[in-house]
Amino acid sequence: MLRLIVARLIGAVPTLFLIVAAAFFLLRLAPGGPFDAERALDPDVAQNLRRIYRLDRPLAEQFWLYLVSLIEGDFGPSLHWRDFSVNELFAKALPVSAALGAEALLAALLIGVALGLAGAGRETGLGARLVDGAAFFGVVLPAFVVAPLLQLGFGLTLHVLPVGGWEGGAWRNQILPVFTLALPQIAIVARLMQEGLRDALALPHIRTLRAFGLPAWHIQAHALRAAVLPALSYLGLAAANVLTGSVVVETIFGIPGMGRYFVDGALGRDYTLVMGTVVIVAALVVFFNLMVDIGYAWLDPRVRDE
Amino acid sequence: MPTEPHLSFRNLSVAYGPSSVVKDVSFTVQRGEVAAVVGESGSGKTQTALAILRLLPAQATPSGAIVFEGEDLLALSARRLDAIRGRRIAFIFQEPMSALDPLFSVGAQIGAILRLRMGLSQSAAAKRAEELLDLVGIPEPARRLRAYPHELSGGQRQRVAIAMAISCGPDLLIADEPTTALDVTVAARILELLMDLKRRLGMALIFISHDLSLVRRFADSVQVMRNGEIVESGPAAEILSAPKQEYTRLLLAAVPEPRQARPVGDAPIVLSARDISMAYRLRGGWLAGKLEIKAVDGVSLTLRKGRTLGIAGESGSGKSTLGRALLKLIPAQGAIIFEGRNLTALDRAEMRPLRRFMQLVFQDPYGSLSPRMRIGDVVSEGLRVHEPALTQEERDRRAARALEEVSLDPDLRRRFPHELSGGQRQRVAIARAMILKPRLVVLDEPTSALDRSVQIEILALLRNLQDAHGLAYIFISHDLAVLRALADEIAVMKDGRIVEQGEARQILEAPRDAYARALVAAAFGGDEV
Repeated sequence: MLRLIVARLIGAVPTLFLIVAAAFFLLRLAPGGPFDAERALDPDVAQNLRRIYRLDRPLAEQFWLYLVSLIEGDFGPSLHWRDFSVNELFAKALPVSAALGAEALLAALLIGVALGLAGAGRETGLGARLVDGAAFFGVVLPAFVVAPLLQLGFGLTLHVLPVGGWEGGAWRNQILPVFTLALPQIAIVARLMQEGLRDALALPHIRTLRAFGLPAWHIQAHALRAAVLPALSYLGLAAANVLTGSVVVETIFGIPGMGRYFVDGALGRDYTLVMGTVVIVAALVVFFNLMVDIGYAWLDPRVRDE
Repeated sequence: MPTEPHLSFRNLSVAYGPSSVVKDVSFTVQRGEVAAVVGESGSGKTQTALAILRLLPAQATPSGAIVFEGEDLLALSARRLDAIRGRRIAFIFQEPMSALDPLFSVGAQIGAILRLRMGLSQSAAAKRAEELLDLVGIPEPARRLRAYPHELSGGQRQRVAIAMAISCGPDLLIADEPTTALDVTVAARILELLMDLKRRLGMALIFISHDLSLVRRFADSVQVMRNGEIVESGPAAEILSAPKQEYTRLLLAAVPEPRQARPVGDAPIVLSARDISMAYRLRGGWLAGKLEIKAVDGVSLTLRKGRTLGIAGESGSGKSTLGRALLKLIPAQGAIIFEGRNLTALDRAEMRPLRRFMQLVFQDPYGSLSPRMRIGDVVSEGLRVHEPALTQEERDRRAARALEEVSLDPDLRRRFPHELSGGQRQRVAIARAMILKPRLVVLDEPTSALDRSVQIEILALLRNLQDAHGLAYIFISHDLAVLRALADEIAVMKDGRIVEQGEARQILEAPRDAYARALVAAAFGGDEV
């Protein structure tokens, strides 16, 4: 088990390196630069700026310098918000986004699994039909439709929840964005659990348990463990989906998270800011996939031995 | 002696919608007896067995009665039934691979039954589980309790399944083809174990099998099933010595005729191979050391036109790997000479024109035909590659002719594989090879997935095709009875090496190597060769 974790961690290093390299060079391929404005800067000023931010060095050297500072944990200065370093910007925004994402994932897991179990009965039963229907809407409705509807309903009509803002993470402000972000994930997890449990109950070794007259709860426990595996492997992907989904949700609800840096940074060619968000997102995705691998190995001895 | 039978089937039928797979089955099982239920695939024997403990799939509807000690199992409440399941009547399934939960250790699975059904404490259950593993002949039982199913061999898994089945001391054991998925030498030992346990624990046994000649060794009574009905039943001695039904006689005689020895002659050599070796590297990652498995280890052989070299061996012996290596489908070391041409140095492009002369027929007639292609296209696909100039009509004509040659209706070309039976599909697979007029055909267990009666037909077909076209066969099989129907020579493989090689008759009658002897004994039961 420990060997698996160490091996995966070491395997993550080249993955992260490739992502950083690809993002770094692709960004430089995009036309324009961080200091372009409506009115062109004085050539000397531009030259000075480029020298200060070391953008006048050869590209390979810039890449090397970036890697070195990255290893030291320094994302560099923001090229757009010139009074702040990327680290300072993230120190404020990351906890907000992390809270939002973690809550959405947790909701997806809890509600999704519960719904999946409820819908795992007979295919024509009421539970199964409800889960089927809910899952369908959850998947097809995009966040930019769900969010305004929720704002209209709960904010403007019922006046029970605020339509936006963060207020330092007040629980009332969190409910709508977390739900919007979690909805498609809830639907997918529910479907995976539902199908996983149905398939598991038809497995030959479940029939073996029935042949021994073992109690229903014992049989359910065996089936559940087999059914969790497909849902678990989806969680890595779900984490990535939540991260990208948060860009839209944070914008709609006006939440001061990482999402806006993604968009603003890319539009303003704020090289260091975009690179910082890319590194953070990539590291999170790698981390969640590692968690999934560990969970999988913990549940399935066949994986453990590979 | 008790007058009332232990278990009796009274007009049992099992229906799936409008079609019945078990029809009006009635028979009884006495206390302590071995009752064999024999039939080919689709005869309804497994459905009959599953009905006893109501383990049939939800869409099946059983009718009639199965009376166990005065109670109808089909009418019992779920609660009363659960009290009988495992405690009084226990089940051993065919597939030891899938019958155990891969996610739980062997000890946890046996322990759960002991705790939940016998009321043992955690520690008492662990101790008893260890005793049970010891009883079914698993070495180091204490250590094995912590093992997961995938860490055990097929034979050991079946032993674990047996340990689970006897854990509550049942009066009746139902074994559904318990040895079919196992190698012959392993199957013989599992059977011995079952019979020994039955004697010692005084259980009755319902033994489901497709193999009447296997059952003859220990059954007290026999039920022969066909198409869901019992066609013949009675004491084993009577049925086996004087079968009344044609079908029973067919099952009994269903060991293919051995091939007559044919003089070697001076037919040209089609294939010769020297020192073929092939190693798999197990992926060990950067922390584990390199681990190499020699699947094939220094094998040499020669095959002449019109003759068959049989390759015998159990699973994992490397026989299939050898077959693929000889056709250069997988990279291997050593020299391969096909019709005087050294293939060793040829690359893929250079091999391609030769491919049509070296064909392969696979074991699984279900998996080897694309389900989305019509039979005619499956059969003629090779022509598209090797004779691209042919017109569509000419290809279709050839496909029809190839199907006729394997005794199939040429009209089947418009059908899809799922509309055909297993035997028909295997004929299609053979037609697909034959349409290219090959000179060497590697047959990899071509009859193993088929019922005996179908096997015999396929073997006769292969023999006729060989005589008509002077084909050279490499015939890979774990089943010596099948092998001797076609092979002129036999090579016995174990752990990637040939342990004995020679004339078929000599290997089957007087094997010198100890392993070859064990294989022959397991295949023919020592009572006939």
